[in-house]
Amino acid sequence: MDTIAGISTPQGKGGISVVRLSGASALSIALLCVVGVGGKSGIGGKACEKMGGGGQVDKGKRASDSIEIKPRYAYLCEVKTKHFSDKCILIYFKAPHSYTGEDIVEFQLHGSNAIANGVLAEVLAKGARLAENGEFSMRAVLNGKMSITEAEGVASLINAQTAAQIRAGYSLSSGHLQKRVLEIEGLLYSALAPLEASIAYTQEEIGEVDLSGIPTIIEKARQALLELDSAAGVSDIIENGISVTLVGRPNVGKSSLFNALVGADRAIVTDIAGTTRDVISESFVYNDVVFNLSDTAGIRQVTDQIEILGIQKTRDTIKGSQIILLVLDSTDITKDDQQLLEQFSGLNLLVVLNKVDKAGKTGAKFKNAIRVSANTKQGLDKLKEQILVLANAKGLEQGDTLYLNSRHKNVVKKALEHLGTIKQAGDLETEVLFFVVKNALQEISKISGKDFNTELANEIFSKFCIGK
Amino acid sequence: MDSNKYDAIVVGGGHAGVEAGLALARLGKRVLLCAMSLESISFMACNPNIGGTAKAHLVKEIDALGGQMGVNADRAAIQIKTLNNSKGAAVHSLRAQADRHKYHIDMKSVLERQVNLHLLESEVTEILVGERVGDKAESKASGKTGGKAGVALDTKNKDKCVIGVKTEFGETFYAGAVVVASGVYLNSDIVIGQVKKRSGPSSFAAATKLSDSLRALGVELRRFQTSTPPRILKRSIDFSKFTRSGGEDVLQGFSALTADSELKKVLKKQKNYPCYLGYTNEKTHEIIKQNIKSSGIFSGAMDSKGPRYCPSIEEKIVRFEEKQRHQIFLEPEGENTDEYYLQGIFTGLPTNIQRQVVQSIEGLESAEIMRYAYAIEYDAVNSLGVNPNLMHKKIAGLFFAGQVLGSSGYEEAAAQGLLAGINAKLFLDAESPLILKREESYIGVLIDDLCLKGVDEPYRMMTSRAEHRLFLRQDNADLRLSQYAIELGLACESRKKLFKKRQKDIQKADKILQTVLKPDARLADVLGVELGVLKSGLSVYEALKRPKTCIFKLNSTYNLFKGVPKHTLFTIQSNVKYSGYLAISNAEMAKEKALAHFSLPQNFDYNSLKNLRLEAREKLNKIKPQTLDQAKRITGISPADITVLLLHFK
Repeated sequence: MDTIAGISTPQGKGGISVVRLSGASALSIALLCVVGVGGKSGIGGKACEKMGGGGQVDKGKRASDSIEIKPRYAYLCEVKTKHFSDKCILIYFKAPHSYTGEDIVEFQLHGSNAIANGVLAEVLAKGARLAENGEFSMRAVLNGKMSITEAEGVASLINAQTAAQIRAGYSLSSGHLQKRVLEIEGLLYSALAPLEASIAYTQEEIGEVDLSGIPTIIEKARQALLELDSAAGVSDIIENGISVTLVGRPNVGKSSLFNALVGADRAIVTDIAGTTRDVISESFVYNDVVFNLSDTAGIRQVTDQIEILGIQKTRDTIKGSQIILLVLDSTDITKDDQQLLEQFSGLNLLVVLNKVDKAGKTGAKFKNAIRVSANTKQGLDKLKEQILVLANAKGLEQGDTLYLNSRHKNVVKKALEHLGTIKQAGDLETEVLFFVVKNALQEISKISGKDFNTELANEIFSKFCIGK
Repeated sequence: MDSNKYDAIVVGGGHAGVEAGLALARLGKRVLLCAMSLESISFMACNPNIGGTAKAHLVKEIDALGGQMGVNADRAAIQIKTLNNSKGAAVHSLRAQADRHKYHIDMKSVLERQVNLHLLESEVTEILVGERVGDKAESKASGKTGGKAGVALDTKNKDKCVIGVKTEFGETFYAGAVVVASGVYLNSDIVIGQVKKRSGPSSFAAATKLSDSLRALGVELRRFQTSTPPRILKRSIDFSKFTRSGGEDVLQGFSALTADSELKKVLKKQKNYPCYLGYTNEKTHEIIKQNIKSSGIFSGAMDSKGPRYCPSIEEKIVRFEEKQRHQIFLEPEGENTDEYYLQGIFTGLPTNIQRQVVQSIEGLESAEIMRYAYAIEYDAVNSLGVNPNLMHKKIAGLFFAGQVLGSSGYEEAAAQGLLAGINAKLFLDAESPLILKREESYIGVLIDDLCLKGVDEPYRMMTSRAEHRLFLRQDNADLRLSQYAIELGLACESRKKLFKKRQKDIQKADKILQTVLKPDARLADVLGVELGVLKSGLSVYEALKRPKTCIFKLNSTYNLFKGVPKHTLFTIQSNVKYSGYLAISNAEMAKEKALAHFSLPQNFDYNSLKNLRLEAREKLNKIKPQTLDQAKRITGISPADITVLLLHFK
């Protein structure tokens, strides 16, 4: 395979920027671009000595002519491009002891876009090819340096925004999911073996094969998959947060509650019913979880064209939400509230009694309702906790959370679908049971990477920035 | 015409050789079939049965392609049954106890009567080759033009091509294609205890010269091993100590050509030829343990690879020490003999110990051994050296088939023989080879495995080797393959007629399956449910889809499929029962097709792809797969390697 190059640090100003080469010609291409490897100039002098110091060549003489570069030593040198020269640190990682498993050379440059781009252009001119998204990590997988799920963990780490996301990425890149998947694969294999034996050999060859343990094994595998499936729900929350929508009659204090929850005066609050027309959304983080909160127009019978549109939007927003907060005014419960409650009864609903700081106990009959006051902020944390509970998002603060991305989630779903066709293992013919279990196994092995193809590779590695 | 010139020569008259010879002759080629002894034509050297799991599929496919094995197996059958009957149709496997002598005599007579085929008793000692210039064979001796291989085969790089053979008597015969089907006879040694003698099976002579000739041509050989149990005399057996295991009624024999009346004759006589089930015991195991060092298999007298799935009794006792008994099976060897085959006692033990072992078994206390068990070691060709048309990669026109190519079993051999014969014909006529696909046949799986995966022990067909097992049923072998036979010209008129009728019946069934059945007592009876449960009518298809519905009962109740024979009804039923799973399976097949169209260069040095693991590079350089889908199946090629190939060649 050819040698690839890319800028590994983000675009913009910074202390340093890194250009990286990977492939069989990484070192020879890099050396075509530098002179004075390990010079005596004061820059980093002692540190450079300590890091190995490397060798020294005459100015103007290409390094490749004489010098031998030791792996894992930092060399201070001068990189020459078409338009400029600059000091840099060059480090060589010799295959297979590198991130990709191939020869890697890193240029640590001054942190300017122009310098990084210039050096990149230079190595490309000397024979390297621009790396595609995630190609470094893909090569690491191809060269057996890490499993696919581990690579996906790296991608998650790169894109992480919350601590939970970092933990999730770390969990993946440490192989937690891989371990679970291998266990499930092991179970399914142990079901396949006796099934196969009973089909392949005649009774006079091996006698009766005991298949009585098979349903238990399959059920165990199914349970393990179900665990992954529920972990997938949590993972989805880590990745995307929880979508929460405030609904209710006009003027029950939805917008006040919205502002109180997000901790900012985001929505306009008045005493006039029907103030909120459009849907307003804002995010906040609570207990490591991103809450995507939407405030909506109060629902009532109206003729105002704008308000009708607003109410329609409210209904659309409800459809796309995981959690609905039905807000009631505890001082003024009406028949309309009752109607809304019935309307939304099939949804993931929390009833919120607002304005509990004011007198009046009319809301007492809503036993499970959460009593809050947007005004005094009373009950808000309890509300957030209840949302986490309802969204099955508790326990994210634990470090060893099993994390699955959306690809893993789909694989688990499909594997469960396959096993789902086995209602009672005894009902299926042996060879059909084998077929079903084998299909589930093939599906789940898409996570472990035992069934690896380009389609999958593109799907996974397109999420990386170029240099990683 | 010169008497020493033929179109093709077949070396060996075993199960592979006879199919190759018959296919070539039936396709209009003049064929010389050389066998070392005409008494060894289609000799069943081991078990006296044909078919069994996965093997029955092969026999049915051979029959569908116009081969001979199925026809003769039905003729020689003395007992027949369907194995795996308690499981689904896809893994049903017909097995017949065959009269060994009759099977041999019948096949010899088929060969004798075959136009274009010359049967000659002679040991072939040398394969003759000529230099190849461009596409033509330069050979002073014959002046014959070597054929062009089909598109998929790279003939340009071949520098040698076959021109004929030489025999032990110094005779030379010329031909443009030679099929080597020498079975286990190449430099074979029989081992019983510490006695080792150069011999073929059952005291037929070993072929001692051909190996050297092959080696000199650059054909890679290695040593393989197999073994056979003792035969004992009927009247010395106390059958009362065994469990009788008889034949069963079956819908059809191995061959579509076998008339129902013929099958009935077998079904009628089979009550006289049951098999018997018995067990070894702790005494047996003790004798073996004490004498294990004297076994030819364990003493180091043989260092070749034997088949794992057909272990000797010594190996079974060592490997499964916790088992207190192992099954044995007594099988009759024919109508006019009192020999019984002792399935389960494969051994390399010395003769006196063999006797003790046999006589330690309940019911065999006074058993008389007529033939001792023996292990046999022989030269086999590395199957990675041949292309999927079974022609050697380096020598144009030289084909290999059967046990010499590393397989085991009569059925595996016959299947390769048939395909080698067909492909030798296609090679001679410069036509594209017939390479059966894995998703359409067990034969395709067999040959693909041999050529791509290679084998390091004798290869036995297993249903698990087929990815599309639910589709590759024995009952639809003709529907999958007979079209090839018709196009090639291997299907006789009656086969064509039967095939057309089957196709038509199955086509018509599509419409009948849509018929809606009323929710009445008749339907409840067919479905095996209470009448009250039936809320609405069901189509015939839906009714059949239910696990407990049987098409025979359905048809006798409603008489929907008029004039459709039972075995076709069974196929219709299987198609319905598996339909959901077949849809999933078909989706898989479609994916594989994309890889099958991704061709790989034949002269590429995989060492230049540093991202491939060393093992993968070596394997790919050795095998040179033609497509990515072939590469995927090579043992030791990982999914990541495939991705490297995809990225490199896309």
